[in-house]
Amino acid sequence: MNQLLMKMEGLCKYFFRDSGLLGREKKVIRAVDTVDLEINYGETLALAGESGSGKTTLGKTMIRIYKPTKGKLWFDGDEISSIDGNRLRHYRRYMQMVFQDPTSALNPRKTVLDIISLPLRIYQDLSRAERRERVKELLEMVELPADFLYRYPHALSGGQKQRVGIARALALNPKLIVLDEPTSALDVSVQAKILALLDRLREQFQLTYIYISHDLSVVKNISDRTVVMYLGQIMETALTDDLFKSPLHPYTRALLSAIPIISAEEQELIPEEITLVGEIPSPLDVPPGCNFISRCQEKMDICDEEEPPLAKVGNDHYIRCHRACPQ
Amino acid sequence: MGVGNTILSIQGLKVHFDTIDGTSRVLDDVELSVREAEVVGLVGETGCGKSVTAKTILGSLPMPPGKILEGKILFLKDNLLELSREERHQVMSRKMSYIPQDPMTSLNPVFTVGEQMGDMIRWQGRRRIGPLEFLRLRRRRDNSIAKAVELLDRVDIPASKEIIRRYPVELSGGMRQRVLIAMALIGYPSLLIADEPTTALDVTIQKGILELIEEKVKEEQLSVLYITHNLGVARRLCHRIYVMYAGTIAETAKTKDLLDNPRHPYTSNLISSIPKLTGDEFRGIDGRIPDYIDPPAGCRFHPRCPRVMEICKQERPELAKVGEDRLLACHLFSTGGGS
Repeated sequence: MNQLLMKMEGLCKYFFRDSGLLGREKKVIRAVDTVDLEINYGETLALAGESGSGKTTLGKTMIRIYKPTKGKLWFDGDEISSIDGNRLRHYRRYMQMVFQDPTSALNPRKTVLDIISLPLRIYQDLSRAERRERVKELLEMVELPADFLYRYPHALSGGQKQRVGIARALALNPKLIVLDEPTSALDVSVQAKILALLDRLREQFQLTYIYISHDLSVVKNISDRTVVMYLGQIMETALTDDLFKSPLHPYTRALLSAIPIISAEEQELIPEEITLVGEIPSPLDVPPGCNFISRCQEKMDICDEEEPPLAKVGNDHYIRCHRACPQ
Repeated sequence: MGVGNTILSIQGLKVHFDTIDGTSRVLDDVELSVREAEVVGLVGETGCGKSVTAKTILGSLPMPPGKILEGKILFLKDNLLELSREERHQVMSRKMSYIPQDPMTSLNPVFTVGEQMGDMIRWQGRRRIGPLEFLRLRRRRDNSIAKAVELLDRVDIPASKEIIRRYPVELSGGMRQRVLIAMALIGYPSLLIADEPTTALDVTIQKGILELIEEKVKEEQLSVLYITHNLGVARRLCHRIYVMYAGTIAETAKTKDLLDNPRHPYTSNLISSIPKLTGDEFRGIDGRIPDYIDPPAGCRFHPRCPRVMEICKQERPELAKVGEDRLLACHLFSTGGGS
């Protein structure tokens, strides 16, 4: 049942910035820092964290939009961390992405037909009529009427644009779709519809989702497993139900306690209030020791000196914190 | 919450916009009131007229294309719409202030935080001054810097002496929003209008900002009109909530009543659209906000309403009192209607 689709070992993505006189020094931004992660077929994995925590960079590195700086990455049993060109193209069709801002993700000069058929033109040898049929089919899957074929993105609402983005991601029958905050630009009434659509498509095509979000209420409702990230590192990961029931990392608890909720029943499900002091530090100068140290209210002496390892604390539950792991 | 006198009252406000395609009938008979020391939420989805309402109150609505057809905005016993620009400025400059939505673009990037705050401290409430007074006031820099530091301390900005020498780009979003709140608090206003001040921020930062506003409300007996699309935020901060749909007020009640026992079909559908931690099913609302140039006849929500009746398509429901502290515009609950 739990068949492995993707595996990451010590995956890193660093960006370099020139600094110093004539750019002779290089500053390192560790956007993704030593991530170990396994993704199973058919699961929905959520990446959660504040802005600047590296969730989008991890998502993009996973599907090789970025080339990893260090570490290894396997997709469906094959190592894809350093391949290029045509060999990479072979894998790209199985890994698709839906972007955060539906307006800037669609070319305003192209019709919906052009937009959705572009991947088909690149990867499949179909006649024009066959392509149009396929696009019609795809529009039906995302519950858009067929007369949208010749419309331009500006004539669509936010929700409809996001549906077009989803149809484009589905065009090549992918195995994995990275959804980068697909509903953060939408109203809640539309968000609920899009999430229901994504859920139906996942069952229909046995898709695997990587769902990137800062909205933990959404994460709770759609994901099987959750990864909480902070400054490029995994801070805690567990099955979603376990994570929300017994969050262990101080950062996870702080995130949960900050969710704006709407009922008393929900209030009982979140940990007692923790207000984080300060803000996420610049990735240019990550503190020594634990990454979270500058905002942690439960820190100990050891946290200043040593970076905690990602330790197993239960069934599928891992946490990076000195408080939780046995010394 | 001390139930005091009404400080702001909007009655039958109608605002239209002239566009190339025709007249866009955006606000239609908006009724709203804010009492002393009360935090009132104005909640609705994108494009439902929340910001237009705020701009009309503040007098920053671009006219043309906007025009105010009818209605009253009573603020501290004056009808703002009947005053001349000069008089309106006199009334509003110290008593009403505004926190904008986007902390990234609401500060001037070429002046330091201290310079911008100093300007506001020195010139606040003045509209035209002669050259002599200009020269006299311009020299009072030291005084205004000290006051800026004091203001930044009021909004819990650490190292405030340091911050006033910084440019806005050097500050994070949360910090900039705190600076904007500090600037809004300069004249000890009676009414604060906040237009989604936390939408651009992370939840952890948002929480800090909400706590700050809560604290200021208590300390300074502020009245706040808080505009947001997030019912969770409104629940945390507001005493009373107005739900707005397509330029009309659909329902208003005390926060707890409204969320636990919504009556208007739009309110209840909006609440059930929100994903909840309890894992209860959430479903959206079919359709989309109507076109304002040709809004649906009768109730503007009727094309999307799951409980639509014949009368809804013809007659616009009045905002009527239903029970204690609740106003509702829906034929389902008007006398002679259903349940």
